[in-house]
Amino acid sequence: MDSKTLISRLSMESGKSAEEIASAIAAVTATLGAHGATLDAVAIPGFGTFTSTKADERIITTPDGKRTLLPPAITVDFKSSVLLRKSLS
Amino acid sequence: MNEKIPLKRFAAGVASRSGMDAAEAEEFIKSLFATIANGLRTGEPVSVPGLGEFRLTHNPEDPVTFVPEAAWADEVNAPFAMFEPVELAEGITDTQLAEAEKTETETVTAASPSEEVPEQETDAEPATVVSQPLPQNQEPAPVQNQEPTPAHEPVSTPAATPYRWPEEEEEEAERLEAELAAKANETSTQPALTTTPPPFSSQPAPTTPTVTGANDSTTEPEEASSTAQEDDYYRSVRDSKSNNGFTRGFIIGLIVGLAIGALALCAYVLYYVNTPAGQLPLEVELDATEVVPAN
Repeated sequence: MDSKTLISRLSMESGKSAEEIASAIAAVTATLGAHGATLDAVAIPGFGTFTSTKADERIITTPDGKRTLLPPAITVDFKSSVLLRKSLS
Repeated sequence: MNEKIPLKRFAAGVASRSGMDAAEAEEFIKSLFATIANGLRTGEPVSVPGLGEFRLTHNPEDPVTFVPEAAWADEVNAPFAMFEPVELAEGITDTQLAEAEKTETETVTAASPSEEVPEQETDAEPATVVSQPLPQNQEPAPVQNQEPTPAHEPVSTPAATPYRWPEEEEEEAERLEAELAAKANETSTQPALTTTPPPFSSQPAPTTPTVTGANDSTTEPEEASSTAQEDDYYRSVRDSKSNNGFTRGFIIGLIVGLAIGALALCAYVLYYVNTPAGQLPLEVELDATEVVPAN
């Protein structure tokens, strides 16, 4: 399912226009990103949890023998809920 | 930070950004992720604009994976977005890196409380330190530059005044009193405060010579002002001590006097007021027997 299909389905279900659905999705995305940047976990009942983790700086060695210092980084992981796993199994 | 955000709180954030009601935002979030789940159940990946893509895996324990869009991932990594990978010099060893990290943690703990912004600043330090070969002179430099100098440390002179306990200060005050008294006796007609002039052998502080005035050639204006302040302080201590002594003596004398007066009154009452009943008649009978003749 691509983005347009998702927006059209949501528009049909809610009765709102595509622009409104797109702006609402943008708000959801931005709020989720803001919580992720502060290392907060967002739980969506029946779907899963978005968890942020911070990776400390580390040194990697390339096959050439050169060593590179990688800066710290925040990444978001997703863990599906039990209900979703059961429905997909 | 490091909190688990429930749906209601998440919906409140979405409502504030989109202008919807909190309940309306909550319903929209539920319908959005329900639609995503329905799309996943058909076996197809679902792409959310601006967020990323949800894909199915063959792992029954974790059947759904989430691949974020690059822009959204950068937005999440915004606190550390300014850092870039740095290639280390060939001469850098692991011990040098450990030492640099150790000094970095010391400066972080000494500087400010832990937040992301100072964390970023401290994280930038190893990048600048490590990218260059570390000469030995540079290692103590961050510590010297970043350690705050506490305000309560004494003036940095070789013979600076060490910390004094209150008893030492009292002794110093008494000695200064004696010195002032000796000086007053020599220069003016003021009455001597103490009888014995103190010896000048033990003078731990460099400020005491400025107080006595013997070595004024090398005193600085700062030391003169500090000694004047010390004089005032010692005078106030001496005055308060003398006042306290006089009051104490007065009260003790008053109590003793009252006690002696009470004792005297009791003795007077016992021996002169409360006379026994038969004492006077006995004296009269004796006189009668002597005077009346037998014929």
